Amino acid sequence: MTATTPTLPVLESSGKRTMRHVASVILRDPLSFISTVIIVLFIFMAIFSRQIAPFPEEGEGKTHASNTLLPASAEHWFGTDKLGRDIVSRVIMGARPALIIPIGVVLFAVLIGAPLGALAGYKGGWLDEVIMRTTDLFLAFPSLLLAMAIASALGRGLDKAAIALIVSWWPWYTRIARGVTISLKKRYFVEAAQAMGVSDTVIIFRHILPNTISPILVQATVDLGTVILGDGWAGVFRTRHTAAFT
Amino acid sequence: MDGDLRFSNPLTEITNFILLDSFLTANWVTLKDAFLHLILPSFTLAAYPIGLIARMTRAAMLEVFEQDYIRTARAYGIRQYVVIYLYALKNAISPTLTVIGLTFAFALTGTFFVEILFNWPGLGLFTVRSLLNLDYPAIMGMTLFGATGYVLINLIVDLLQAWIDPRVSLD
Repeated sequence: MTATTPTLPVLESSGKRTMRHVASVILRDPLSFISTVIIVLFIFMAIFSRQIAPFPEEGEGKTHASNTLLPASAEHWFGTDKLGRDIVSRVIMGARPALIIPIGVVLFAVLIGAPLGALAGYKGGWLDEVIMRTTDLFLAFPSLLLAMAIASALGRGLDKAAIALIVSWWPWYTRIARGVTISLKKRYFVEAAQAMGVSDTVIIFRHILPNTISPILVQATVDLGTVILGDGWAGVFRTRHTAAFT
Repeated sequence: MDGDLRFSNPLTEITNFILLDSFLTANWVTLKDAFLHLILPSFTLAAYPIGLIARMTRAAMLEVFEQDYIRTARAYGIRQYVVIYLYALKNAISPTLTVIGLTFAFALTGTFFVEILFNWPGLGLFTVRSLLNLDYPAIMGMTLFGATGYVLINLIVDLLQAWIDPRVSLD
């Protein structure tokens, strides 16, 4: 990076410089440029799904008994399903949950899991034991069993499915964050912060968590894809009306 | 594996693991057959963790390569692969180990898709069937088994981490 970038103005803020660097990398590489265009188009499709879909009501689940199982035609590009709903509309309307649910699930799982893991790794002792045995408890249940339990307690729907996914997913982030933290807490920068009398909360959030970010980020990006596929649980929560990509 | 070679080559059941039993009784035909039937399911199951583990290790290695001791090792003229596999990997393996442990424990019971596809009467399929049939003793048994698996694997991972990285103390 240093070899190719020309001298940057000194006054430019670091955030702006990072943005410019990201933009230049994306524009230089055709593959990442095309990928960015596809992702942006997908986001637009999710935001304006009601305006784009040819039959928005059918996309939301309104049935149309006289049109069941039509083949592809100019009116119904992908045909219709067995309840007479236009499949193109279903696909377009499904983009919004397919975008929101993985991001929401992974975000909440990271927000719950990572600080708990850092706390367990940093404090050690009985707190570590309590937190890690709790994660073992959550990991031990077959994920489908947890999903079924939550479905029967809260009812059906994609938001309940998201809750079930969060509940069975956060222990992974706790374990990853703890693993990194126990090797970080003996480093000089943490000991220096302790010697200066920085409070434990600040050490965990400002000195340790930013250093655990890279394995957590890798796990999160991989999990985004897994959540979209729903891991086979969508069936437990499926209602007849919501469209999703699972 | 129900329609396998057990009719033409009957297998003495010692441990009920087909691979082990056929090896112990020197039943090479069944051993080869059982091994061949393991290849595709194993690769299918491995496809997802391969990507995860590779990315995880890469992310940690990128951070470790910026450390001073790597530069020192290079300055001493230590060969590249020794620097990578002995000096850097040892310091970067911790998150990968955690993920390997979790993936292994998950693969004990959570792989029913692969078991359905390959018609494999495994634990994952058994769990899902007993869940859907509300077979409570079986569900409790599988939960207990899963819990034991996770706890054991996590213990092994913690011990391994302390062994690889002396900064990790088991207090």
